[in-house]
Amino acid sequence: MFINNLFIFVATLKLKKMRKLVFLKTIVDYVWIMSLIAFPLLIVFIGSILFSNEPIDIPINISGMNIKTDTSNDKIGLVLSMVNFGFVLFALYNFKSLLNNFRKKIIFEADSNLLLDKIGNLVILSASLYIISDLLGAFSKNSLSINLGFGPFLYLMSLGLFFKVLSEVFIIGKRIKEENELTV
Amino acid sequence: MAIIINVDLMLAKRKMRSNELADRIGITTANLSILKTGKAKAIRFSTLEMICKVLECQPGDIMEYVNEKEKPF
Repeated sequence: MFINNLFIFVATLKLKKMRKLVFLKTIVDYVWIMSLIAFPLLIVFIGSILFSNEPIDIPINISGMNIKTDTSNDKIGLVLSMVNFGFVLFALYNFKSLLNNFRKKIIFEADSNLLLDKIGNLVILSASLYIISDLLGAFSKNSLSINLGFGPFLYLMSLGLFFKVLSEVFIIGKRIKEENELTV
Repeated sequence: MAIIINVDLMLAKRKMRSNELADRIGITTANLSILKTGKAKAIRFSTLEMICKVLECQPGDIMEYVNEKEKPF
């Protein structure tokens, strides 16, 4: 599927017609395939860390953050991060379905609205889990820092709410489309 | 809906079939059916004009307002 999209993308480039949807779908398919490879490996790796009694000397670094697995709080944080990754993956899967719908011109339909709402809910859930795991990590280090900048939590929360708003906009669009179809 | 469409009544009075009316006003029979069954959300002035022209009637002859609260159950 990814290779197929890549061929379509190259063909469109050759035609000098930049089709944004095909480009976006190619990127999403690439991230999806990479995540599908990484997720089971990560589950096995983190499972082995959680169930082994001996401390691991290998430093674990996830997205620039050093993860320690000494205390139970750290382990809970690690599990939460994994669950969070699962939610993001599910949101990505729904996003892929949404892009497929767009390609089939299924735009202002109940299915697309439902997908947008689901993606929004998943991203908001992911943001909530992120802040919980972040707080657990901070408590285990006995240090609490307040970051007023545009951090990952705000970024994820905004993204989730954006999808929710988009879903509501699409509901209005669906109603307008229906009214247009029922205008004689 | 509070607006009732009486196109069927006018068609019977003019002894005209739905297909003929749809052909003469330039809409599909499916759209005319939507109008007759009261499923239509809106009607274009151009369509209304054509219906009145073909059926030789006034807009009030093909649509009527009924207060839903006063509607008998």
